[in-house]
Amino acid sequence: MANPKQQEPLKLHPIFLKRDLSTFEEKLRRTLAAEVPMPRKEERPTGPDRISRLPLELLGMIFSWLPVDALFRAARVSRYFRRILLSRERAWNWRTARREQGWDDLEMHLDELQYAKYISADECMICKDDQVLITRSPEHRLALCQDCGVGCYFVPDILEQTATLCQIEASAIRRGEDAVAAIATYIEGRRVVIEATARDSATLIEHAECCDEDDLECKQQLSHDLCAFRMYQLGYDYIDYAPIFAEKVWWCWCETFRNEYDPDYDDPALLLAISELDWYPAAAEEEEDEDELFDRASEAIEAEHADCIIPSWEYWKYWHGQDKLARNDEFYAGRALEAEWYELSETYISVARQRRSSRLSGAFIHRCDRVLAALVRRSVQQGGEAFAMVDRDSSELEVLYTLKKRSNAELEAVPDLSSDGSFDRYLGEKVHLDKIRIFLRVAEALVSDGEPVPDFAKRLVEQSRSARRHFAGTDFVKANRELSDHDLDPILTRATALLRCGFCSRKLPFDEMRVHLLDDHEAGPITSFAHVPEAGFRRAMYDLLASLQLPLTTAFNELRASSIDVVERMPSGVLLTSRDQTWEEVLCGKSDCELPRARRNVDGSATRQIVALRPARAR
Amino acid sequence: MAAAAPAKVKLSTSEGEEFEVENDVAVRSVLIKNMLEGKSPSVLRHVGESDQAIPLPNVSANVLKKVLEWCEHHKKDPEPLAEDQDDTRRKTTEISDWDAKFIQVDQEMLFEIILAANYLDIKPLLDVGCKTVANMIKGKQPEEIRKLFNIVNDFTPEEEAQIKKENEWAEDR
Repeated sequence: MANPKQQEPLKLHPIFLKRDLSTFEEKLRRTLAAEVPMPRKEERPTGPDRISRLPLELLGMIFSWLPVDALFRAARVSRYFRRILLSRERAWNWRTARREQGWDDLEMHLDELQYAKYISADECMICKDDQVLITRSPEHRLALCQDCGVGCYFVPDILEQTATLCQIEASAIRRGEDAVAAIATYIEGRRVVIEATARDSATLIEHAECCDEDDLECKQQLSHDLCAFRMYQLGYDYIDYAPIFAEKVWWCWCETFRNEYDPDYDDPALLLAISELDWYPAAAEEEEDEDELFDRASEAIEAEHADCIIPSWEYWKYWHGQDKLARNDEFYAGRALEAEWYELSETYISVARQRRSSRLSGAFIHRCDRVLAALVRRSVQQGGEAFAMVDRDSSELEVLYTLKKRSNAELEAVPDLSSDGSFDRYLGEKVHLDKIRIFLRVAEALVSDGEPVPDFAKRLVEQSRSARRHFAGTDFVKANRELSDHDLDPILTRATALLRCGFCSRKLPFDEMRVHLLDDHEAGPITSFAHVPEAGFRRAMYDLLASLQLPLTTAFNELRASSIDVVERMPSGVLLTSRDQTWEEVLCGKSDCELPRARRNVDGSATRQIVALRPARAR
Repeated sequence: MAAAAPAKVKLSTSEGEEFEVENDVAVRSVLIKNMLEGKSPSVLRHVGESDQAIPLPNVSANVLKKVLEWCEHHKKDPEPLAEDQDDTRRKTTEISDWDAKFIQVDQEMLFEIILAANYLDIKPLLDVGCKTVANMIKGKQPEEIRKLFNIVNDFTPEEEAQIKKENEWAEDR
């Protein structure tokens, strides 16, 4: 089995489409095609290479004194240096160097190089022009000149695609069809749609060129189409932006409220609000002070409007009319064709973003499992920044890559997922299969340690050993999906079945590990980052249970209240005993002296080498 | 409780050569200090209390001599606090004049000093060594670093060109 630690979660970054393909592609092509001379063949060194033979920790100490640019150059010295410097264990070297340079901590979705380039860029990343204003976009990890910044459009929300693909996969599985083929068909369909859109945009631009300056109606229609097309390019779904052009509902009432609301006792809005307040009858009975009642009603109304978007002045002037939206010809006459977009796009985008956020929150969050829900929530909160983690062994990976490479990913309105609950079942099944996978790892360790396990677990371990020769581990796990929580939990909750976090070496029972990975490291899936603890720790745990005269099947929760003396081996080889530790301290994964730093730098530190656990003696 | 530490300590190198040094020089090494204070594992606990030399099987005589020269010069330095080692120290790679002169040695000796400082747990000396190597790396191109430390370039020319292109940013700095 491949080392799960090496399986990085897949991060999908925003994809950007370019408005005017020819100009920007030319610029990009020039940048990308810049020749890099082939390196000269170097002479083979004759002397001994002492630095590469240093122990890793010492090499790490040397690197810790290097600034960011020197780290990058060191990473080009040899494969060995590169592997070390880009490993997870060396993350703290980069972090130290960044902090020394006064840079903020790394954004989640950037790698070191992207971040360094982004933060220190003093020229446009597309056209390399350093004479013009720079727009920095951390969400899209780009620093751009004003020209390129205006010209590049981003299609941000891949998360929605992930959810859709999960849904398609789930439906296919339910129908007993091949999930991968179903997705491939879907993607192909998408490609056709995207190509058609590109053709439409070409036609649009052609029409714009021959549009009569004085034909206001034609100009307005084109302008409208152009705006709609750009909203589409930006990644907003039709259902999010269409109403902005068609109805005033989204802001009219709110605007009336802002302009005309007067916290007067006779104000109808206020009276309505008072009647709707839940506490009204109770308050009336107690003859609450009337002023206070009205104050509270006012607050309620204002709170209701707290998130409302105020249209820009341009919007107000452009879309006039009492009941129905109508364009103001005067505003439009004499302006360039793109005037509407340049002057109103900010409002359009704010409204579409808000509509999409509420739609996504409502449609997805309540039916996703904890992991997906957290991702959705974060993505939605950040205004649709695309960031999805996908299980490397699940089949959507390849498909998402394809989607990404084609740079044309934008989905039509997401199908309603609520209809048959298949999405729920799909996620539930996935979570359960992960649990079985972890169970197998634990059972294997317990069996090899000679711990008492139920017969079915022994059989499973034996089968899994022979199964590896015949079929993939994933299939084996699926074949055992009939194992229920009732079978798995008694073993997974044992004190001897603690798992070790791949990031910070903290040791936790299965359920808590799921939460820990998500909360502290924002990582999933559990199968990639949870491991069976090292043999030394397991031995120490067996000895502890023996000294407490408890059976090896004791659940971890039964030990929680006890205090423990811990003997650990320090890096220098010396044994150190820490007395009266709580389990929280015992399992923290770090040595005592490392703890304060380790809490901040979770992935930079070594495992605590526990050699013995003893019940704390009463003093 | 450990017995009062003797004024002088004997140290034995990997070759078996013995050095007699003052106690306050020897205790710059946290490893030796712990041995003398009886905090070390039981096998070594009584070593410092008798006339027996403390065995340092990982350190050769010429390296130990050099290390003791450093300890002698720094014996009056205040002990670094355990907590401020990481966060509060300013990450300056500057080295004091005496240390800079002291560490002007060939590469073999430099790395031996680093290894010995690590083994003997002499953090300030380890820092001097690591900073010196870091200063040798800083500002150099990968080819120069390879040449300096005799590192074999095991990238294929295509890989190297690719990485160089990716790293463009660090090139002109």
